[in-house]
Amino acid sequence: MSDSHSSSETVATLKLLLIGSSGTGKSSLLMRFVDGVFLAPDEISATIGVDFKVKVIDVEGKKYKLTIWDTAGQERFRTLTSSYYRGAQGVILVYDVSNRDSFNDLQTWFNELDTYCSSKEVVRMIVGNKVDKESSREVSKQEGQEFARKLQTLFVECSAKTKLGVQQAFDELVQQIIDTPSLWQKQAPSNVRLQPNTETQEYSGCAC
Amino acid sequence: MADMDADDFENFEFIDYTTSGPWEKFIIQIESCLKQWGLVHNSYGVFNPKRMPATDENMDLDQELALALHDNDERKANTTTATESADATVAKASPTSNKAGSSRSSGVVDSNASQVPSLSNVYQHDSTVTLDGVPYTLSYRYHPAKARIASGVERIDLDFLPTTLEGFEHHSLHRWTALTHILVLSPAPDSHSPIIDLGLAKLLQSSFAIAFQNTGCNIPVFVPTGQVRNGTYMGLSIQPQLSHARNSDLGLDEMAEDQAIEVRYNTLLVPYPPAQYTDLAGILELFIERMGIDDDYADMDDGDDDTSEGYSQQLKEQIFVSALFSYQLDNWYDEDWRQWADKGDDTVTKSRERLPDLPFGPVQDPLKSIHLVARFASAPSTVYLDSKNLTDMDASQANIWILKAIFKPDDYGLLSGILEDAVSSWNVEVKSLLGASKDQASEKGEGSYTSLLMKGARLIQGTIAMVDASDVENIVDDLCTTPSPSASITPYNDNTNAALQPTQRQRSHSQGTTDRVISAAELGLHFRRATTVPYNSFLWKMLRHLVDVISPNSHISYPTSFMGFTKAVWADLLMQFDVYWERKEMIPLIDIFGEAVDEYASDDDDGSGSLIKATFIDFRFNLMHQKLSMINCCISWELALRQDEQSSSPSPTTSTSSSADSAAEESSPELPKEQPSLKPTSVSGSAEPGDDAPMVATADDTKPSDSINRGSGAEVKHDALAESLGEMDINASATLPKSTTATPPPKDAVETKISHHSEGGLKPFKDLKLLATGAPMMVPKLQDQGYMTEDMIQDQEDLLENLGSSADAAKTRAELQSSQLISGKPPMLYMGAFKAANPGCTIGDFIRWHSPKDWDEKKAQMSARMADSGNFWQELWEKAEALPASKQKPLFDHYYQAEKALSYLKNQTGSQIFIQLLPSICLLAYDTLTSHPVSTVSPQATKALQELAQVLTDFPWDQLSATEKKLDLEPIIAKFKQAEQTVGRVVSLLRKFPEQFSLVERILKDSESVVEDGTERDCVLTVFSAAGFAKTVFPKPTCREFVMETFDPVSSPSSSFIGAPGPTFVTPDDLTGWDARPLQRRMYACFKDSEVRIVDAVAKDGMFM
Repeated sequence: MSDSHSSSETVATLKLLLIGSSGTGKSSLLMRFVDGVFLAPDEISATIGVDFKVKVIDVEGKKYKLTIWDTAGQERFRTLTSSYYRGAQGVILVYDVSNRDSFNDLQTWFNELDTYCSSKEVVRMIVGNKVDKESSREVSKQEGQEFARKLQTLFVECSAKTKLGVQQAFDELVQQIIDTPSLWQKQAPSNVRLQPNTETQEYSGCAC
Repeated sequence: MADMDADDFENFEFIDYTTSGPWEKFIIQIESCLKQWGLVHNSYGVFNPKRMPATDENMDLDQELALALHDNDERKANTTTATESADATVAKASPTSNKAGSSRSSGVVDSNASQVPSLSNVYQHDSTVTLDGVPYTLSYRYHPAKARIASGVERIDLDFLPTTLEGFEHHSLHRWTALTHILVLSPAPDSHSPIIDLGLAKLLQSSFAIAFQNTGCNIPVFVPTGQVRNGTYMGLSIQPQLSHARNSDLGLDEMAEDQAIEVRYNTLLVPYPPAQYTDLAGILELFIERMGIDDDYADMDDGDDDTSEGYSQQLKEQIFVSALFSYQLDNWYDEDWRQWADKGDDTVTKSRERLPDLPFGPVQDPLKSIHLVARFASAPSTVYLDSKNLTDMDASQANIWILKAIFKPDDYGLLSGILEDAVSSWNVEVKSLLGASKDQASEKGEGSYTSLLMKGARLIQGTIAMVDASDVENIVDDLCTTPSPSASITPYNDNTNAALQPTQRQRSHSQGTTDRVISAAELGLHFRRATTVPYNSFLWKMLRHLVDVISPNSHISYPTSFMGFTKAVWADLLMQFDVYWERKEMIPLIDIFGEAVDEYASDDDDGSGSLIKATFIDFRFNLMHQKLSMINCCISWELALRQDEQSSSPSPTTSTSSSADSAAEESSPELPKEQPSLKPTSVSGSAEPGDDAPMVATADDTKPSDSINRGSGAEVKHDALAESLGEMDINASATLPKSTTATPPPKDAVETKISHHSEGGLKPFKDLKLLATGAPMMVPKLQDQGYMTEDMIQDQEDLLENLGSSADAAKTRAELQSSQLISGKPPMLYMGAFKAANPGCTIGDFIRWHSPKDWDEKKAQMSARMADSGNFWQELWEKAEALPASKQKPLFDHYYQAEKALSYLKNQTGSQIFIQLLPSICLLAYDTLTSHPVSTVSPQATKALQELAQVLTDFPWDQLSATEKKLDLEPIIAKFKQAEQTVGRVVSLLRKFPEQFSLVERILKDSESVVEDGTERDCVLTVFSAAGFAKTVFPKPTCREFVMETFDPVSSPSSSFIGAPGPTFVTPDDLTGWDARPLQRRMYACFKDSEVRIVDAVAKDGMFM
C-alpha cells in the first residue's frame, strides 16, 4: 500500500505505527522525531483517531520515506486504529516510565498488535518514554528490558522532551526493517493471522 | 626403457625422437593421456576413490570394514592388478581375507592420494589418440560403487556392479569384469573403420602394454573387437614392478612382489549356445577348461561322485560361484490402479462427498514393470545345483532379493493438465480481449500440451463458449441449496479434523519420520496475503465445480473452456446473490461468524473472560470472498434490525434482565429494548453475559446446523456488547448482576432529578455521579461502526494520507474522524449519545468515561491537554448534539454497502475473477493431492507435497493482475506434475504391494531396494507368483548371470556383497604366510535373450613368463 507513495528517489516507503496508552507521549515522540520540537503530552490535544507524519531519512545512502502513524491511545478509540495496523512494517509500543499503568497496558497493546498485524515479521519496539522524569519514575529500565525480552522486541528508553534516544529509536527500528527485506519489498510473505475486526477489544480498558 | 629421469637430459646425451614411427607416436599419446589422468604408479588418478566424498570420521564398523576392504582392493589393484586386476572386485568381505589380501599386496596408494580431486559427478574422461591417421577415443571410466560403499551410502553388489548408479549409465564392462576403473579404447565416432579386427586389437594392446610399463599404470584397458553391437572386448592390464608398499591400515608390512602380473580379458559371445552351456554345470566345466586348471584331486577321490563330469568335488569346491537371476514382471493392465485399499479413509473423504473429485496423477498406471533380482551369494560351486535336468537355483532359494520398479516416462499429469488448461483458457481470453489473439507466445505454450482430451476442449473454447445451460444450473443449484447458513461453520471444523487425521494416520504408518503435510485449509493462509478463499466456502465449492468442468472425469455434457464456463456460472450466481440480498437470506458457506476469539480475550485484562464470537469480514481471504461476506454482514444487520423492531414493539420496556440472561434458545423478541440503536452491531459474537457465555459459544461451534443459532447469536451479541460496555472494572462473573440491574431503564431515578430524561443509556458507569447533577453516570449506547472490506479500509487510509502532513491536514483528519464523515468511531456521536444518556452532563463527565487518564480524580479536573481552552475536544463537545444512538444518522448504511458489494462483484470481468480465484484453484488442486491418504503414509509423497506447498507459498500471487499478458505458472504447474506423479507412483506400487509402505518407500527413493525377509518377501512372492505361469512359483528368469572364480593356487574368495544380510560363505581363512601369489581366474557368464556372454579374466604371473 505504502508503495503507492514511493517516489522515484526513495527506495521504499515504510509504514510505522505508534501505539500505547493515552498520555504516554506518542504524539510528542513523533513531533520530536519529525519536527524536532517538543510539546509535552499535556500540550498536545489527545489524538482523534489517527494522524500521521512523513519523514524521509537516509540509510546507507538510500532514501526511505517513513509514514509514521500516530494513534489515539484512549480506550474508546482502539478499534478505529486497528485497521491501520495493516501493512505496517514497524510498530512502536510506547509507555511512560513515570506511569506504571501505561506499562501494565503494554501486554494488551501487544496482544492487539499480534491480532491485527498482517505480518508476523513486523518489527516491534518497546519504548519507555519520559525518562526525563527520573524522579517520578515508576518503571525501572530493568523491568522494561525484561518485558521486551519476554516479548522478543526491541527496547529503548528515551525522552521526547530532552530528545534523548528518540532519533536512535527510530533509526534502529528502520534499520531492522531494512534488514528484513521481505517486510518491505513487495514479496512480503504473510503469515497472516488476522483476527476479526471485533468490537470486543473496543473497551479493552486497562485495568487501571 | 624404464624411467626417463630428468637427469638423463642433463648428461648432454641427445636422444633422437624424430624417427619414431606411428606406433611409437601412438604410445606416446597414450602415455600422455595416462599421465594427464594421473594414471601413473598405480594411482587411480583423477578417479582416486580416496578422494571421493567418503570420510574416515564417524564411520561405524560396517563402513570401516567396507573401507578397509576397499583399501585392500585398491592396494591389490595397485600392486597386483597386472595379474589380478580382475579380482579387484573379489572384495574380501572378512577381515581375515583382508589380511590374506594384504599379505600379498604391497601397493602404495598414498603417494598419489593428493592428486587432482575428482568431481564426484564425472565418471568418464575422454581423449583422442591417433594411430597412423586413424583416430581412437581413449576413455577412462570410473564406477563409483566402492566409493559409495566406503562412504556407507548403501550396499552395492561388487560382483555385479550396477550398470546404473548415481544416475549415470556406466559401461557394461564394469559389470562384466567387476572393475571400477577401466580404460576403453574404441574407434573414434568419426573414424572410417569402426571395427577393430583381432590383429589390430592385439597391436593396440601391445601399445598399452608398453605404455603401462612406462607409466606404471595398472588400470586395465579394453579394446572392442568385432561388431560394435556385440560388445565383445579384449582387455589387458599390467601391474608393473613395484618397489615397496605398506599396508599401513592393517599394520602389516609386506614386501611387494617384484614381478609384474598380467591379466588378460576375453569376451565370448555365443548366440544360441549349445544346451550343455546353458546351465551352471556346463559353464563350470567350460571355466575349468578355459582356465586350464589341473584337477589335482582327480585321482584322490575317484569313486566318490561326479558321475558325469570328470572333475572332482574338491576341485569344484575351490571354485566359487555367485549368481544373479533377474526376473521381470511387466505390469498388467489394472483399471483400478488408483484404488486405495486403506481402511478408514472414508473419514477423510466424507467431507467432500457431494463435490466432484479431481483426478490426478498419470492417465494410466505409471508402473511399467517390476524387476526382481535374486542374488545367490558366493559359494563353492558344489553348493548350487543347476544342470541340464535339475536345478535348485530358483529365486526362492536366493539369499538376497532386490526389487526394482520401472516407471513409464509419461510426463502427463491429469491434475497439472487441468491447471494448464485453466490457465491457457484464461490466456486465450486475455488475448482475445487485447485483440492479439494470434500471439506467437500462446502458440508456443499450447504446443506443450499433450493430452488429446484437453485439445478437444481447447478447440471449442475460442471466444465463444458453448455451455450447456443445465450443467450451469446444476452447479448453481448445488451451491445455492447448500443447507443451513450455519453450515458455514462446519468447514472450519471439518478441516481441523482433516488436519488432525493425517497426523494420526501418519504416525501409525510411517514411523513418524515425516513431517506433516500442511492441509489445504492451512496452506491457504500461508499464501500471499488475502489471495485465497476459505476451505470449503462458497467460492471454494464453486471452484471445485468449475475445475471439474475441464477435468477428464467430468460429467459435464459439453467439454468447454474453463473461462467460458466460469463466466456462465458466475452470471447465474450474480443473480442468485441479488436474490439472497432481496430475500435477506444469508449466502451459504460465507462465514461471517468467526472462530471464537479466545486466547486474547482471556488473557487480556479487558477480556470479559468469555468466548466471544464476532461477526466480521475476514481479511485473510480474497476480496471476492470479503465482498460476499459484506453482503452477508449486511443481511445479518438487516435481520438484526428486524428482530429489534419486532421485539421492541411487543415488549418495549419490559424486556428485562430476566429475558436478557435467559438462555440462548430464547428467540429474538426477548431482546432488551435498548438494543435497537445498538443492535446493528451484530458485531460482537455469541457471548452471553456471565455463565451462559461459554455454553452458547460452544453450541455455535458444535451444532452448526441448528437454525436457532443464528438468531440467538445475533441476540447474544447485544448482551456481549452491553456487557463489555459495562465491564470496565470487573470481570465477567461480576458483570452479570451488573448488566441485569442495568437493563431496567433507570429512568425514574434520572427523571426525579432532571427535567429532561435520559435517553439511550445502558447502565450506570461504575459508581460515578455526574459532576453537575450528581445523577449516576450512564453508559450510552453507541452505534456500531459496521463493516469494511479491505479495499474500503485502503481507500480510507489513502484518503487520510492524501491530505498530507501539514497542520491543516491534521486538523482536517481530526474533523473527518470526529464526525461520521468517515467510518470509525466518531467522538462527536459518542458525545451526543453521552449527552442524551446523561442530561446535565459536562465535558468532564464525558472525559471521565471516555478517557479516564485525562481526568485527575484528586483535583477533580481534566488533564491539562483537555482543559486547554482551544482544545479540539472542547470544540467538539460544544458542537455535539444530544442524540441517542438510535436517533443518530446510521454510521453504517447496510443497504448502500450491500449494493456496493454486489456491484463490485458484477463489475468484475471474467479475467479479473480468474485472477482472484487462481490461487484458490491451485490450492484446490493441492487439496486434491493432500486429501489422498497416500500423502501421509509415504515420506516421498509427503516430501513432494511439502515442496509443492513451498512453491505455492512463495509465489507472488498478490502481484498478478488481470491484464497479465502471459501468466507464467510454469514452475507451479511443473511442481504439481512432479508431486502428482510421485503420489501416483506410490499409489500404484502400494496397489501391487499392499501395506508394504517401507518397501515401496525404499524403491521410490533409490529405484530399487533389497526385499527384507518376512512379510516383504512374502508380498513380493505373491505378486510374482500370481503373475507367473510356470509351476515353479517364479517365471523364467529373463537373465541369469554367473560369476565363477578361483585362484591359482587356490585361495579365498568370498561373498563380496558387502553388508548383505544373507549367509556369508566362509572362506578358508588364515592365509597369512602364503608365499605364492594367488592368481585370480574369473569368469562372468550371462545368459540372456538366448545368447550367452562370457567374459573371463586370467591372471598370469610375470615371474614365470
